[in-house]
Amino acid sequence: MDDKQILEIYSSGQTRQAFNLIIRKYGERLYLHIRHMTASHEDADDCMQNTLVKAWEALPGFRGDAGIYTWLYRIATNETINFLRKNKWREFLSPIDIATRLENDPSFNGDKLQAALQRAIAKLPPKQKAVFKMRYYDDMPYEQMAKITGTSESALKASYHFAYNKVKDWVLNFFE
Amino acid sequence: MSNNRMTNKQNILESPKLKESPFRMPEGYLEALEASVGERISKEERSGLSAVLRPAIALVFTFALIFGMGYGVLSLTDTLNKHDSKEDILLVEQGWIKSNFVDHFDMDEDEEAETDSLDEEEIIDYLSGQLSIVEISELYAQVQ
Repeated sequence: MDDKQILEIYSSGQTRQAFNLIIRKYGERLYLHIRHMTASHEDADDCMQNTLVKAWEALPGFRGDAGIYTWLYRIATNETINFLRKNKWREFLSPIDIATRLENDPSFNGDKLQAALQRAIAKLPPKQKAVFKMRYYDDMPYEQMAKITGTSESALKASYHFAYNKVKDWVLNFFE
Repeated sequence: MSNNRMTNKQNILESPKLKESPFRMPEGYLEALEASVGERISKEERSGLSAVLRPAIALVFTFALIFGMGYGVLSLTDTLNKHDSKEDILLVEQGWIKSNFVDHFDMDEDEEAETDSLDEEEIIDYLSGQLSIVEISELYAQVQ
């Protein structure tokens, strides 16, 4: 079922049904996008729920200029950045080694190098995490990233450059 | 040595394996998510509705309170005037009870009015002073 058909179901008054179709269609991609930024499943779940509740509230005003997934991706990115900002003190007060946590996580399939990479990403500030994820994993053009984050392309390029170099150094340091 | 280390650094992050997602979504997560999000949406809609209705309900209660207080005050001050049964109306008409607050305290005046009523002799005395005996006899004949 494509976006147009889902929106037609929504317009016909079957709003909850249409919304559940959106969750089933895009839920997994959205979850993985958020999970790359939060690393933990519990935090990703919180962000998913917040994102979807916001999307439900904003859906009556959705004009369909962009695809549903692009729209959800934007909400999820900003929601996750805000979540990470709010919770950065929690990490500071009770730091849990993300690599150790991931080793015991059944939804993490990575090897030691990937665990080290996640550990390095977890050390980035919230917005740099989002920028690194969008560029490194999604290979997203800066123009699109600028629309999503509301930041200039030049600032995003600088941010990614810093994040990339820091992550690279940290990953190497884990193995030294 | 330094160049070799730099190459290693670059290779690490550019490895295709490292760019693959190491995460997967837990089994049955979407179904649980659908349920929890649905519950949150319903809860927020309910609280949204009550937030809309709350001022209206408060307004109705305030109006009812003001109305109740006003009615109570009026009832208390108007209690003496509440003789609206048929029996009471009849008694008022017959003069056995007083119809209002003023009448209730106007008994002396009524008694004076009653004592001031003219009797037959006084009328004759008055008329005899004003009219001749012929005119009085004509009037008496008309009355008879």
